[in-house]
Amino acid sequence: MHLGSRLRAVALASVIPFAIVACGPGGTPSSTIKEGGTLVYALDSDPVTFNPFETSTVPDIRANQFLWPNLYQADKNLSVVPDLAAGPPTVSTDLKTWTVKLRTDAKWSDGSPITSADVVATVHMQANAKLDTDASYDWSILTDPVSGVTAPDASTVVFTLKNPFAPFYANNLVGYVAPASVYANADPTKMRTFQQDKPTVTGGPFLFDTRVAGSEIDYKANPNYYLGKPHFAKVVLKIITNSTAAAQAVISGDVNWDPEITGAAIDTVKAATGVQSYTYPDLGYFDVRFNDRAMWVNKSKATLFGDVNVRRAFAYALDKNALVKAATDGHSTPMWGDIVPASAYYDDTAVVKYQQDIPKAKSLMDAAGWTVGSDGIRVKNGVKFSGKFFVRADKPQRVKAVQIMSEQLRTNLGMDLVPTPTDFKVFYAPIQAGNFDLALAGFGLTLDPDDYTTFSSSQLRPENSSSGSNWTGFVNAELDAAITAQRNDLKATAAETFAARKADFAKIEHILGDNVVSYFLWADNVGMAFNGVNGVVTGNNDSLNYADQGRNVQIFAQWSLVSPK
Amino acid sequence: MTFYVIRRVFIGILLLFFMSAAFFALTRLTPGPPFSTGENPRAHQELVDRRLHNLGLDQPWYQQYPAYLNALVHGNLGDSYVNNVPVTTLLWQRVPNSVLLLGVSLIVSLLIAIPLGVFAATHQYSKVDTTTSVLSYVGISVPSFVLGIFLLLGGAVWLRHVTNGGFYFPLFGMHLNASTTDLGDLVWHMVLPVTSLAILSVAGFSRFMRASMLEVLHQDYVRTAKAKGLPARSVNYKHALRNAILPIVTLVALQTPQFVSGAIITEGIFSWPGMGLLAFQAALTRDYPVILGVVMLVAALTILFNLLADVAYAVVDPRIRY
Repeated sequence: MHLGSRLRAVALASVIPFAIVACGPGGTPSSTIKEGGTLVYALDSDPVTFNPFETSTVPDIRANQFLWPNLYQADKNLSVVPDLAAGPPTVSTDLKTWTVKLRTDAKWSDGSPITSADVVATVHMQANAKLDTDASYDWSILTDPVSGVTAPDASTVVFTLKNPFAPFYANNLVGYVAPASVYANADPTKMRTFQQDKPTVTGGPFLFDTRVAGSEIDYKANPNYYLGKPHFAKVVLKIITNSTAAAQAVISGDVNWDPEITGAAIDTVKAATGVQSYTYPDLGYFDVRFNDRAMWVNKSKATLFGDVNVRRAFAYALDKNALVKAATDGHSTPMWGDIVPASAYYDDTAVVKYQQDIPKAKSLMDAAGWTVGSDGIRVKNGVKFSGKFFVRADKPQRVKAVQIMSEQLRTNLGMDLVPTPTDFKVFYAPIQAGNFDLALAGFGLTLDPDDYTTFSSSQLRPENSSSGSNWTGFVNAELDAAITAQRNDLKATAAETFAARKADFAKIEHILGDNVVSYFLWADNVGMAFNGVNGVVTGNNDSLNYADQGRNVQIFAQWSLVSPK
Repeated sequence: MTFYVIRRVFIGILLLFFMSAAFFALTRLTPGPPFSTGENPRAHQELVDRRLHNLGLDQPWYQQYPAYLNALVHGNLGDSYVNNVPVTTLLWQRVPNSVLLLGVSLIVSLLIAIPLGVFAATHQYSKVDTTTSVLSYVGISVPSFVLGIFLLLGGAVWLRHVTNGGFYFPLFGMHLNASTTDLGDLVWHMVLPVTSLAILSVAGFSRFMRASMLEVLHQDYVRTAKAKGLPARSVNYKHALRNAILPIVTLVALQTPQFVSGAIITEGIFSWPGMGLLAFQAALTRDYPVILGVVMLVAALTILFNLLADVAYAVVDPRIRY
């Protein structure tokens, strides 16, 4: 395919990864790098598979991250930068054809080169409708799952999209690449069990060595890794099922890296000497998801929160900072929108922050026609303001938050919202069916803050979509337009694209906040701790999200041990 | 006796059949879908439906059960929904670890509890008896997760701190590393979890032993032995203990299936890769075949060891006839 002058470079990211190598790993002076030694990594559960197509749980992803290269990856501030790719992709003038050039020095562990055929085979397998794994891949944006991705030569991959799609870069191009020689001819219907115990060919910074089920997994440095042989000679993943033990292990030095420290253990680790510990908001958030419709979908009940004044009253009646602090013991970051502070797209001026103002909340309820009844609960047309406040029963922090909110809303505002802890297996059923009043829900985020599935009216579930995550019933043309705009805004330069999308996201955040489509609560603070590891570099707000769950695997070849043993 | 054993085996098989049906129905009737996709609200419904269909879970439980029973009769416990390997493979990976941990803790606890119970009984209302009683009640009352965490922090963290790294027990696992086959290393890793389990068992066993011994010591034949002028040591250990220990034999036999089911809390605290941890994780992920595999294995062993205990009772006590 001749792309020639029809293409114009869209510099979607400006970081060049090779620059890192020049000054040593993560900016560490070369003189501090010591070769060899074993990095001991704490994993809280035994992984299930080493087949990248089947990895869907966090332990699986963490165990696999040492083995597989990515096409693109995240940098410390979650911008997308090349990994196997030689540079940013170029996009055609119609913004539908994306071309990725690969580096030519990368090899699989069997010595064969990593080529565009591997990328194409990986996408074909992921897009195969017969692929039977628990991991879900969305390549529906391609014109065709097969012909939509091609390899005109060994180092070029061309993706053809149905329409311009800005999140394609972060959502689709950041991901693992698997060897075609192993996986291309595998039966997609049997992929679940294919090479799940031991991969035969890998291409990441480390190679699979041994595994003792339930206890540990050993990797050894890949001498053929394209950034050079990693400084660690080995990586050992220890299965430590108790979080207290894991935190103490990193303090004592038995473990060099604990990727996930939560709750009170964060304070313990922070207080320890000789431990590098970092705390930052996770890529995800919790919110109170209202049913913004006028009626439940099954028409059995008028909703409580269909009126925007009621939702605003809800927001004004609560002291979010105090509430979040009490519910999570201070181990979280209050949120006012669905973009986490670690994201470059976060704009503090765009979000709408409701400070507690109970008189205003009461007047809004009065304006909405809800008057206080004899028992203190508000009433409208003879119907009490009473409903179930769903929350997952197995999440103590969320249950506590719901209990606090219910109590305050009853006392301050006359809302009778009964905390209803529910088993997670049935938690989503009434919400996805649209037959609920409100629920405390959690959402994971990807590198791109695209909120199409959670807030676009086309993703209303169950009305407009069977798989969408917009359970609110909220429909707003302006919001839909802004969401569409952020997905289509691809400009000539990275700066222009970023600025355009950031403006789109600012508009979205304002609409969401002004209409209190959801009442955003918090992002969990997670801790990551190291003992005796050189080269760790944090991003904004001390964030190390990029160093977790395979978002950036080059770091494993750049870090080193302070005292290798 | 032979007829009795045959009858018990037959009843045991019937019991297993009813238990398999009951547990199978319980797992299937629990609200919500199995395996991890049910937890992910963004999972494509098509993916979930296809998986349910492939596993036969889109049929009513009573239609699924005959296939399960047929496989069970042929020794096939099915494949784990999460690990995608036969349940028997998972059980064989974990059973030896749990048997080792719980077996050693049982031996240790018996070695401590029996002499302690006998001593407390033969020195009833003495300071030692009172102290033993108080400590036993404390041991029985302390939840295993509290005891485990205290032992972890004391034996692996505090001890390391006060000895400046000179002497301490491991924080987690069975071995220092995957290639270690050193018995000493294994024993070292077992100290804290075994202590945790033994403390809880000693408390119960010693109380049981004391009560049983006291009952025997008040029997006529013991009084006769004393009247004959036999030394107290001979009366206590030769005559009384042999009879008093019979209920303990039964108790141990009934506890033996627990070796296989594992100790969920203790294995979790000390990251011991045993059956308890496997069962716990299976319950969290609703891995039905693994849950059923563990339950049926423990049920079968409980029936078997009940039978063995009754037979052993008849063997060691000539008064018992079936």
